[in-house]
Amino acid sequence: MRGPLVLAMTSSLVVLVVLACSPSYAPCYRGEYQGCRCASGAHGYQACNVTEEGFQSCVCDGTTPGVDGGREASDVDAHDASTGGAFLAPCGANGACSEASNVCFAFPSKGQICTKKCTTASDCPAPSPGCTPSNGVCRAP
Amino acid sequence: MKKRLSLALVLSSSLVASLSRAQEAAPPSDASASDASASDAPPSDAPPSDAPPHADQAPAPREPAEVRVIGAKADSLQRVPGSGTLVSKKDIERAAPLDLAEMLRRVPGVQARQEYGGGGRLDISIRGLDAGRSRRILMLEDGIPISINPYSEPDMYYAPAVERMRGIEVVKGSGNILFGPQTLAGTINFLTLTPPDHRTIAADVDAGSYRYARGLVSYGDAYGGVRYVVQVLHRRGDGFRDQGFQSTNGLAKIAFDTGADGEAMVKLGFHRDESGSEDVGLTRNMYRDEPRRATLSPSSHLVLDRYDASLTHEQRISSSTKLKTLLYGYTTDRIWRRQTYSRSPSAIEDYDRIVGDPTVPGGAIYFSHGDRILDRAYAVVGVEPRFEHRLKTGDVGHTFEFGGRLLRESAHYQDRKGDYPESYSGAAQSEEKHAGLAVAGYVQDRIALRDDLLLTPGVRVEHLTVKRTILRRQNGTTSEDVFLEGGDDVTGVIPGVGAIYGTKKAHVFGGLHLGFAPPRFASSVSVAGVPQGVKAEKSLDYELGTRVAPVAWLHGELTGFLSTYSNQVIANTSAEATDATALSDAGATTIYGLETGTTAMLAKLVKADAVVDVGVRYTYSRATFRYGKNAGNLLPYAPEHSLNANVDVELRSGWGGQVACRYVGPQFSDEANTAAEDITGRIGRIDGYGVADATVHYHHRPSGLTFRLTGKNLFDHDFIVARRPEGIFTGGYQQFLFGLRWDYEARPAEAAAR
Repeated sequence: MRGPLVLAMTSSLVVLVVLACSPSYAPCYRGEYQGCRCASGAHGYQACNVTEEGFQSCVCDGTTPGVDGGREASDVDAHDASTGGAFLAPCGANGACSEASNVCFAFPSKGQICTKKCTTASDCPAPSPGCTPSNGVCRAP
Repeated sequence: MKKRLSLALVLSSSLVASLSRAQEAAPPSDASASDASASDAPPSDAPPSDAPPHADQAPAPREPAEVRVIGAKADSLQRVPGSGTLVSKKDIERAAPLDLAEMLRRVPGVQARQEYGGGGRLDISIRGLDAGRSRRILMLEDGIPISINPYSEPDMYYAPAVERMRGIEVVKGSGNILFGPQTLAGTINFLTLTPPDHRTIAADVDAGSYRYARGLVSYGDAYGGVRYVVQVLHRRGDGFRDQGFQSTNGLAKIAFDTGADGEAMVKLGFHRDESGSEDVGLTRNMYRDEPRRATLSPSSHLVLDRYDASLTHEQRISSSTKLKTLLYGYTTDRIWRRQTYSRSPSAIEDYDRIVGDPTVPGGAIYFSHGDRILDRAYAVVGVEPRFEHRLKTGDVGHTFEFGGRLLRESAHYQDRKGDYPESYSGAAQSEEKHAGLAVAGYVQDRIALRDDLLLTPGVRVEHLTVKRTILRRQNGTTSEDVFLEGGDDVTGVIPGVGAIYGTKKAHVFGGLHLGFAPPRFASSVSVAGVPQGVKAEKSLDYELGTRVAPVAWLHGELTGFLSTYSNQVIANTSAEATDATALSDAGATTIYGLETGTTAMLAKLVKADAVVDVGVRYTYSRATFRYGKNAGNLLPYAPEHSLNANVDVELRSGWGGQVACRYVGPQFSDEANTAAEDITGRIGRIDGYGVADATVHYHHRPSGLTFRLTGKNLFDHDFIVARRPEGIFTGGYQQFLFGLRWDYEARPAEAAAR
C-alpha cells in the first residue's frame, strides 16, 4: 500500500512544482501605442517597438494614431466644422452639436456623440438603429 | 442598511424561536421515514436512480428539511412531469470540477459558460434560450432563488461554489410550474452539503498552473438533536488572461428537530469575489495574431459581496399532509469599474492606450484615462409555504402540492464617471432605485390513475408590481438631479400538464406548459417614469420523451421538445448595437430539438467489483426566428449540436479517475447569422470546438487521504466561446492541478458514545 502512496505523492509534487507558474505576457504588441507626457506638458503617444519588449520614445507632434489630422486648435475647428456636431458624429469642442435639436451624449463605450432625444424608435432617423429607452436618446451605430 | 437590519432581525428571531422549540423537542425522529411513507403509487416499479452504484457507499444521512425539484427517493425522477436530470455527489467528486459550468454541461440540452478564472459568473442556456447571465433559467440553491433580483433582474452575477454542492437537479418540462417565476426553459436547483449525524471533517487543497490555488475546510458534527456543518473556501489565481481573481465564501447549516413531526434547517452564507473583469474582448486581428494575449483592460475590476440567510421548516401535519416553509433573505453588492474606451477615436481626446491596429478603421480600441463605475446593491426577502397532501378517490391516488410565495426585491443603481482607470469613487452620472413586490401561488395534482400511469396537471399564478424611482440622470454631457417615479404591474397565469406511462424498464413521458418570465425593471418603466406596457415573455412548450433501462447496467433517455415564443428577448447582438449588454425583442421564435443521454455501467455487465461507467449525451436544438428579415435564421449563441461524454473508473485499490469530452457545434453571434468575421471581432460565426478533461486520483483508505491530478483542456486548444459583450472571448487554456484531500469520519461506535 505504501508504494502507490509514495508514487502518487512524489509524482504529484513534481508536477506541481513544474506547473505552478503563470505565463509572461508581452508588455505591448507591434502597432500599438500608449499615452505619454511631453516635455511641454502636452499629451503624446509612444509606439510599441518592433521587439514588443517596450515602447519607443514619446512622439509629441499633436496627432492621435489612427486619426487624420492633428490636434492644433485650427485643426480642431476644422474638424468641428466638417463633422463635429452633426447627428451621430462625435461632438465638437466643448460638447457642442451643430443642430439645435441634437444633444451631445456620453455613450459609455462610444464616447461623446451628437444624438437626439427619443421615446420610441420612430424618433430616430437612420442610420441610428433605434432608441435607447433607458437613456432616452437615439443609439449610435 | 435599514432593510438589511430588518432582514437580519426577522431571520434571527425565527432562528431563536425555532431553536428554543428544538430544546423542548422529543428525541429526533427519522425524517426519512416520513419521506418513505410519502411515496406515491405509480410507477410502482420505478427504475433505478440515475446515480451509478458505488461499492463503498456510506449509509445515507437522514434527509434534511429542504425543497427539492426532483426529490430524494430513488424513483423521484420518474415522478417529475417532464424531463429531468440529477447530477450526483459522486459525479461531482469524480470530475474534480473547477466550477459549476463543468457539471452543468453534462445535462442534456444545457449549455454553460462560467466566466473568469474564479468562475464568478454563470451563463447557462437550456434548449437554445439566450444564455446571458442565466437570466432565462430559474436558479435555486436548496430550493431558494439565488439570482440578484429573481423577478426583475434574474441575472447570475454570483455563481455558487461547486465545492459546496452535493448534487444538482435540473427539470426542463412542466415540472417548472411548481417553482417560477421563470418557467421558460428549466429550473436548476443546487443542493448544498447536509449536516452529518456524526463528526465529519474534510480539508482539501488544490494548486496548479496559472497560480491557481484553492483551500477548503469543512467541519460537521451532531450534538444532541442539533446537527451542523460549516465550510469555508478560498481560491485565487492569475486567470488565463492575466486577470487575477480571489474569492472567499462560507456556508453554515444547522439542522434540528422542532418537535416529533417537524425539523428545521438554518443556513447562513457569505461570498466575496474580487476579480479582473473586462467587458471588451479581442478584435479579429488580435485573435489571429495572438489568441492568448493578456486582458485589454487590466484596470477593469469587479468586487461582489453577498450575504444570505434562510430558514427551511418542515412540519408533518398528518400522515398524509406536510408543510414546508421557506423564509429567506439575501443581499448582493456589486461594484464594477470599467476603463472607458471607444472604437471611434476623436482627435481632441487624449488616450491612455491604443491597442489593436489603428491603421484600419475599427481595428483598434482607444482607452481613455478614465472609467465608468457601475455600483449596484440588491436585496431580496421572501417567504414560501409549500403544502403536500395525499388522498385517494376510489382507486385513484392524488398528491396535491400547493403553496405560494411572497417576495420583495429591491435594487439601487449608481453609475459614476471616474477620472482614472482605477477610480472607484467618481462623479455621479445616474442613480435610480427599483422595488418589486411579487405574489405567487400554485397548485398541482399528481394523479395516479393506474399503477403505470401518472397524470400531473397544475397551474401557477404570478403577479409582480414594480416601482422605479429615478434620482439622477444624464442630460447630454452633464447630469442632473431629478425625482421621477413610475410603476407597472404584470400578471401571469401559467398552466401545465404532464403525464408518465410505463414501468421502470420503459416508460414514456410528455408534457405541455406555458413558459413565463416577467419583464425586467428597466424595460417596464421608462427613464421618465412612464409605464411602457411591456409584456412578460411567454412561450408554449411541449415535450415527449422516454426513459428505458432494459438491463441493470444500461439506461437511457430520449426527449423531443418544441417551444414557440410570441416574443423572445435576447441580447442585442446586431451589428448596429451600441450596447451589447442590452436586451432586445427578437420577436416570434421557434425552438425544437432532441436530447438524448445513455449510461452504461460496464463493470456491472461483467460483474466486476469496480465502477466503470460510460455516459454519452447529445443534444440537437434548432432555435430560429419565425418572421421578419431574419426569418429562418438561428438565434444568436444557439448551437444546433452539442455532445459530451465521460468515462468514470473506480477500483477497489483506491485508484480511480475520469475522462470527459465535450463538443459544441458552430453558432452565430448575430441575428443575421453573419458568417464573415468583422474587424471588431463582435460579429461572425463561432466555430465548433471540442475540449477534453481528465482527472486521476488515488484514495488511501487507512489515512483518509486522496491525491488528485487533474488536467483541463488536455490538448490545449484555442477556441472562441463568445463575441460578446464587446469582442472575442476565448475558452480556458490547458491547466493542470494537483489536489490533496483529507476526510475524517467518526466511527459509528465513537459517534454513538458521544
